[in-house]
Amino acid sequence: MNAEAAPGEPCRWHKLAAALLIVLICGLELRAVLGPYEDWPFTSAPMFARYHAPGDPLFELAVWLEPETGPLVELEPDAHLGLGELGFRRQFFAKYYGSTDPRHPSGHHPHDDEASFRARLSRWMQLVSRAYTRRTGMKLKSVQLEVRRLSKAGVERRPVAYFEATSGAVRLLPWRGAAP
Amino acid sequence: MGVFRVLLVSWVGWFYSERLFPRLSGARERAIEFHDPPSLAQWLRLPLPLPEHAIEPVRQLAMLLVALALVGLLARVALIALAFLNLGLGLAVNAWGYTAHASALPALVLFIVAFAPGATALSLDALLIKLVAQRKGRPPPGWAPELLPHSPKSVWPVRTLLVLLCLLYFSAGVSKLRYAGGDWADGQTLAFYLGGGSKRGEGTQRFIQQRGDRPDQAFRDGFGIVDYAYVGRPTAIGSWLSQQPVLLRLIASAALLGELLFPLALLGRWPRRLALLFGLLFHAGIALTLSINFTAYIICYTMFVDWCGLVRRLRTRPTAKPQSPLALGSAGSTPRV
Repeated sequence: MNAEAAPGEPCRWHKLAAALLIVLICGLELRAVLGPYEDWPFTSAPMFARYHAPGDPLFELAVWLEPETGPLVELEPDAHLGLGELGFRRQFFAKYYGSTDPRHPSGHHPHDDEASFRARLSRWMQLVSRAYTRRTGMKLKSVQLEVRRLSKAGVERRPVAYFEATSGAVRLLPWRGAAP
Repeated sequence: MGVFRVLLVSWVGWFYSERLFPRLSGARERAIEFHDPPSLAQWLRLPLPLPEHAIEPVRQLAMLLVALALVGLLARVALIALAFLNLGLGLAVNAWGYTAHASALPALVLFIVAFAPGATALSLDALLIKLVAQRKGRPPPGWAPELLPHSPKSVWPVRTLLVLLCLLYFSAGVSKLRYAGGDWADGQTLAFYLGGGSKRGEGTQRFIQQRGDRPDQAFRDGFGIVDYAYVGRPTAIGSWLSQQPVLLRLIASAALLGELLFPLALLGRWPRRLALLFGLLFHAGIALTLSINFTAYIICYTMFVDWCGLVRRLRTRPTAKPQSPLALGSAGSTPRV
């Protein structure tokens, strides 16, 4: 191609630059679609896609903090960590807790198992402990994770994991109901 | 493209003052341990999060670029700088676990506009160059932007946006099929959200369960949690709609079908018009029922309007042959790629 173009016709370099821009933008979006990935500004657009009927149970992931001195307190992301409720919980769920969908757009965990799950929870609970202590000056004795099932029948609580701040170890609780 | 530049940059200015910078300012209170920037920020090794002392100077720079791009002064430079800055700001704000979908498409479109031929039309640059040329008694130089262009310069920006929209909508449709199968079209998921099952700003983030039995994946808690519930603020219309099963089924089926068939817009005239109409109604409907603001997407749709053609139609006599108002289908304008 001749670099010099007819009047009004873009030159070769302009065409190449436009082509590169198009390939870059569309290519990265295609990557997100195929991943699938939720990776701003590229998205696979999974919003509202999961089936959920009115009356189906909903769940909450509750985090309890046990300071060295003082009562057990439920973690409030905004008050304790300066984080938004939605972002905090979604990040925890997608990157650390893990979806039953191994290719959840916000966090892929292929071949997930108890060991990997425990390791991720340990990392996350260490972050929570560190951040809480830094912001409040209070050291934690433990961090506990509880799953709540909300349905018409009421609230069912299942303790899932117990993190000992001193040792950094996470114990997965048999979810059939044992307490720490 | 000049008109589109004005519309898009106006939205960007509103977005910065009402949403982005308030959120960015709030970031100083956040626990840094949970900072998790998107992949693009990591690939580009951006210095995130923004230091607190940098936020105000960056805000002033951003608003200056918005003003310059809006009026079209040093338009090309301002647009390119604004596109890059906007991308960086978006990556900064979306680094705390929450993905703001409404600002994703405009961030990409801003890049398209920044490099699009004709984006500097309808600008102070064009006016000043024209005035200077008139004083010298010469026509404006060939490279100068037109104040009121007679025809679009190029179609690649519009076609790139169309391809992006096709990817987004088709992916949304495929996601519904992948996660819910055809059952999504029964309207029950819509009923849940429109009925206030997951309201924004009320209570804690909630999660939903895997459909079907997957004991291998339920080892975490025995329930098998698959995803977080999305949030919205149902309006009175949305609440009423949540009690209309027949309408819900119709709307859900139409939404799913529209998303899956949107790529047909690449084929030609009436499929393209139908697809664009679907998109407009889709986002308007979401705003009217769930109060989710996708104004930026609707603004992006104005790129498909052949503004040059509209101006020509206004200027020509009524006996002139009517032309399509859509840029991609205009018979009278044959822009070069």
